[in-house]
Amino acid sequence: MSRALHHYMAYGLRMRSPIALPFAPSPSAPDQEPDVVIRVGAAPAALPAPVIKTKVWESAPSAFLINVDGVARYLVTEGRDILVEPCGSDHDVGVFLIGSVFAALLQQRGVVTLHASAIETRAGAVLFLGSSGAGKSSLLAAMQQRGHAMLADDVTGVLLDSGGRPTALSAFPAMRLWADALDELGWQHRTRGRVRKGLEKYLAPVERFRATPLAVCAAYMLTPSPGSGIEIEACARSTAFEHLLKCTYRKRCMHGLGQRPAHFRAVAAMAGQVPVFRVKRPAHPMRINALADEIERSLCQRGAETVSPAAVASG
Amino acid sequence: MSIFWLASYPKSGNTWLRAVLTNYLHEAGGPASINALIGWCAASVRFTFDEFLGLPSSDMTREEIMRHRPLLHEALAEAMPPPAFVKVHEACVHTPSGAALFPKAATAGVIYLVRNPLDVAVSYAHQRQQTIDDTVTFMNHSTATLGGVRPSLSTFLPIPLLTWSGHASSWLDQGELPVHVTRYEDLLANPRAAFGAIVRFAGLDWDAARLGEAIGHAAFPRLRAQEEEIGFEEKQPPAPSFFRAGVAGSWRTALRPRQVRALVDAHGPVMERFGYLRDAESFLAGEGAAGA
Repeated sequence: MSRALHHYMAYGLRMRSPIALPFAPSPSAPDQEPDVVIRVGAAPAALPAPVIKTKVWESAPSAFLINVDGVARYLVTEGRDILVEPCGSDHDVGVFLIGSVFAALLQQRGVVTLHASAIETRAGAVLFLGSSGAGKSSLLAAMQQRGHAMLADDVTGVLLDSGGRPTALSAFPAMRLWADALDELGWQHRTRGRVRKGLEKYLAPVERFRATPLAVCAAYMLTPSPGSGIEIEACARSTAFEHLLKCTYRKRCMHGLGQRPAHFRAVAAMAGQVPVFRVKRPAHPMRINALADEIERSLCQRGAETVSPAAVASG
Repeated sequence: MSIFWLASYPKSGNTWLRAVLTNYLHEAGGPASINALIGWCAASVRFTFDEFLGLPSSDMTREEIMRHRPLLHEALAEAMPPPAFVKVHEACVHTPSGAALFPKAATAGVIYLVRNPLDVAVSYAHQRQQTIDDTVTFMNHSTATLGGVRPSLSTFLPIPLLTWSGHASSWLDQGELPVHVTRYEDLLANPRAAFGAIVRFAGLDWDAARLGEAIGHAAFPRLRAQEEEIGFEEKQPPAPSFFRAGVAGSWRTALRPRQVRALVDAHGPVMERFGYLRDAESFLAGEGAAGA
């Protein structure tokens, strides 16, 4: 039985999928051919010549294969095709597709995948870097409350533009928050359902979304630290480079794709051009609103305050 | 390669052991930084799970994460150059699908540290900033778990602990992995012999003078001074400091008889196995006599 096709736009790519993905589809089917084609079918058990092979995933220069136990097996090739062999619900298949699987596709296209959320400011895109649990999504939500449009939640794709400037790609209009973060933000009644059955993690509304790329003007690396204080300090270029390398999303998969040298160059360019700050935030409780206030203050010092009608009118 | 698991219940000398091993293997002269200790808990953090398995732990249920952890341990074993030490507070349990959490294929050996649970209760209450009663209840709880409790802001995976004695038995009675067990009290009383035996078990080149230096560099006052000076990045909130007393026997003044009784009732056989029971019982008899 053939499935209805859905059309989406993410990271600047037109996508066609027989599986509904967990974010809003494009308003109408595009006239042009999609950049990314998702198909359902039998995926191979292994790659012919993997560079890195683990028991969960394997990768080669133009192919990435991952098996998510109980959900699906995915094959990503040439930065264009995603073949899915589902064994779980379509919902779960979509959740993993827009995470690890889509990151591999971006890497195949030479996009630097950073573990970061991103917002729009008057001076450009601002990235909030950090590993799982660092508070990227909570801070993104708090910054949206302060009038900033969202560019990306969990994974920010960065490309060097024709002038060699790092540019953040607009991801997809979906934001995911844990129940406790929703409580802290007072958003308990605004959720759009759980991300997955059995998880206390919810889809949260996105009110302002920027759908086009934007030059990166600053990056903040979130680190949970002892104590209740919030500190923001500028990093030396070499430290900035280390932070950006460390916060590369699925770095090992990327190495298996043979993208290591290109990735190094792009990260070095970014560390050279973009000021990177280390943010020490209280580990527990996170003090999300105080943190957002501090970040806002730091942004204002850089002329990167909120882009909002009021701000534009008074500016 | 395969991994030597530095396994222990929390507050049982694991970080101290790591400091001694780090200084033993440290090439430069002088004490190694407490923020660059070998044997980091790589197997227990979400970052390594996500990176090595290519899977988003934050989109997975606890059960799914547990099912995948043996694969993480195998991938880590493959990636780490020797000598590979990894600290774990996890009990040696099986996953929901019945696989060993610590696969034989990924394991070179287990260095298990055990400490008198009466002292663990005192130290652990300080770290958790909870009452001793609450901590005793936690140590007696058969499904006690660390990390992943507030998953939005935890960098740790869920860590199954079991009870204090359940933890010890899970490692010592599993029969699959080679285990070297050391009492914290013996590390204190005779560090050269106790750490020396660990160095030999791990197959490191033997150098008695070097071990003496390493033990000196990792002496408790020195670790505490470093923490005061530069902070200990691995310290988990909410405790004000990580390196606290580093002594044995503080339970005698810190615990009430009913707290000692609760721990003895729950863990008597394992306490006896490690020589902790007699002191506890004579304490209780003395208190009983004093009260009579």
